[in-house]
Amino acid sequence: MRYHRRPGPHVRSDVEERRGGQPALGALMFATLVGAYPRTPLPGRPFRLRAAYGQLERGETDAAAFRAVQDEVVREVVAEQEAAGLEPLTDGQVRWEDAQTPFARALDGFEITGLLRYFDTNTYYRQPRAVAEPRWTRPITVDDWRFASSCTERAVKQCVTGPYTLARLSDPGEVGRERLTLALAEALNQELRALAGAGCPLVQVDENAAILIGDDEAERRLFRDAQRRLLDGVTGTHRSLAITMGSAHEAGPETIFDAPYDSYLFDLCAGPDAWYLIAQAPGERGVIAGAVDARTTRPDTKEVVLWAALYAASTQGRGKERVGLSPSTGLEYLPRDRARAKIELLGETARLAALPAGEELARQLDPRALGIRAAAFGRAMGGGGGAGQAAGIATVESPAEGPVEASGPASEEDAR
Amino acid sequence: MNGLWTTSVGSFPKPPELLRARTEHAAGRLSDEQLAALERAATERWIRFQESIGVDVLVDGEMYRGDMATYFAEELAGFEIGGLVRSYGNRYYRKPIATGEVSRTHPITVDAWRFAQSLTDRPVKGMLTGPYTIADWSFDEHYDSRRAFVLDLARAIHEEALDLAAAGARFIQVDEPAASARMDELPLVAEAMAIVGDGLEAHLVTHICYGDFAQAYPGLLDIPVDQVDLELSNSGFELLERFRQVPFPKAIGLGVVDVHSHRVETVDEVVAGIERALDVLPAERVFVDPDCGLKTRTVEEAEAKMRVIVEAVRRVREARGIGDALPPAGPTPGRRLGAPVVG
Repeated sequence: MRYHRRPGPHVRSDVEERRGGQPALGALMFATLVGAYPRTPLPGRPFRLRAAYGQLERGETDAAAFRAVQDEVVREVVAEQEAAGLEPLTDGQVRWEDAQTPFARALDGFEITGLLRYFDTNTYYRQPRAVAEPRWTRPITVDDWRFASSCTERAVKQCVTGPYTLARLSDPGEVGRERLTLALAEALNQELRALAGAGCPLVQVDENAAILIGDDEAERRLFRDAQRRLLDGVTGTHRSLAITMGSAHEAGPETIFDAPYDSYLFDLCAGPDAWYLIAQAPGERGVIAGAVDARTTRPDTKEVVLWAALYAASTQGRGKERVGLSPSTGLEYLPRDRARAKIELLGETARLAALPAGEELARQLDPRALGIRAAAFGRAMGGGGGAGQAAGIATVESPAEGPVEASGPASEEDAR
Repeated sequence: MNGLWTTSVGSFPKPPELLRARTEHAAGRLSDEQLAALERAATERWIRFQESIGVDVLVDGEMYRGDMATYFAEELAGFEIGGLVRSYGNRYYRKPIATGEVSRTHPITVDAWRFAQSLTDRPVKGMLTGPYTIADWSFDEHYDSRRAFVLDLARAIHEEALDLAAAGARFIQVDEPAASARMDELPLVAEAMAIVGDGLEAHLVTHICYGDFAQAYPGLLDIPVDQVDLELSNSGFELLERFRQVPFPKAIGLGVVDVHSHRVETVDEVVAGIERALDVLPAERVFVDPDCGLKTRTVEEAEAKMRVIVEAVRRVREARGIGDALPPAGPTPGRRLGAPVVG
């Protein structure tokens, strides 16, 4: 299980370089969270975090004692990811009230206001309101990343909510959204530099509001400008862009792939449209396929998830070494036991995806997976049969050939 | 002219002794009967409070409910109750999972409504969670389509609404807070509500919150109800500007205090909000209430916010000569009035 010791794509080589240039392990898939993980306990266990939060609110405990309870939850969440075979890991964002508040609170220039629904979920965030151009005065996530990193030998990534999303979900007030977005990009650039300087091997910028860009040229330009400013001079860490809660395909590849990110994570469960972006992502950049549905308790099908990983590997000459697997979005929308089942499936599928085509892979797949591609795209498949064809799914390592490329959504028309 | 009736969206905070009792009950240290007695006492407390300050249309405060979707799912056939998920801050709920065909096997809220109504001569609203919201806030491991799931729930909630009306409820509110999340599914919300309200001889209200109402309007008018209850305070009454462009043809529940702020609004602030609304809405189609349920506030904050609402309405009624006689129960013409057809 050596692959457990290293993260995937491109991510892997960056991480190894940060660690002192250990040799890469070769072309192996990896699995990672998008970021959030349930902070609730497993069934039958005491919910210490909720109790501690209540005590803190009532003044019955202090911030240090509360943080110690949060630390315990982070250790548990990190260990659970390790056990499932994930890497890079996250702290599950268990300290965050929501994805906006920690940044709005720490940057100068915001006040925190009322609750709003987060996209189409039944979870809420406190809307930040800009009262001045935001300014970065101190690291926001570095200590949390350091702590999570201290809990494991494996690589830990840090998520940062991106400037476009943070501005779009805020009340821009007198500052105006364009000014706010660009000022946030410059402020968060400092945060990315601080994380890179602290040794964080992978920084993931979460830009879920990119799904709202559509064909509006002004929005597209604003997104591009913000990402360029955000990444300006950020080196020595793998830079990843994550877009979930829908698809940003309407913004177009020129917008999404403009800034020099090293990899992209897309939600593939909100609909098939994000495949359009994966198919267009430059081949030298990594892709993380959000193919495990984070919004339902229904179990995912291993063979479908595997197919997604291998198809992503087949696009643009990317190859398995630049592809990873993830849930479709943060797993906090699920009960803890269901979330654990999802990451166990992710780890298992990444392991299978790393296997060379052959008998072992065939043994581990449901022979009925024969029709997996058909199931995924609503088409009938002709010919072939049994485990042999199932194993054939895993033979697609070259982008230009192989049955998956031939029948997958290779064009925009197919993907829509 | 009568109008500006005061009411509440539904929930009030549970008194500390009831919160402790619910914890004890969950741990098996308190019997069902002991908990029910405390729930009834708390309900009576809120009924008395609302009467004492002069609220026009009362609610029972939902002392016996936890999460608004889970409460119904627990009583409907076809659901299992899953593990905890977080909604915000330190608030969590047990998210239901549909594992079979959903149906109603027995009345769910009728006894609680009867009890609350027995305590007062003023009308008490029947309070239901809407089919779209129950579906949206549940996991579905059974149905092949969201529509099938929502419409089965609509039939179940319809049966409950008919039972409430038969028991004497003049006002029935069907909460659809999830309706504002996906604009493309507003037709499904409307289709489900048509099933819920079919043949219902009561003033049918729906409450919607936390959404981009400017975008949802006027589409949300297609939901066939007599009254739409909206949070306006939380968004600085911005929606009123949209009503200037496309007049609001139904009765409205005007949310005038922010339920997520500890700060108690001043009477002057609430009067100003009501006056702004009356620029674009006729008083005889306006009910005045908080933005949403007050259960997240302390008892003191909730009471203070309700007092401010009632006092603000009293001042506006007095200044404008508006009476407080309630409208007749039953369907209004507004139930059939949808979004204007363009073109």
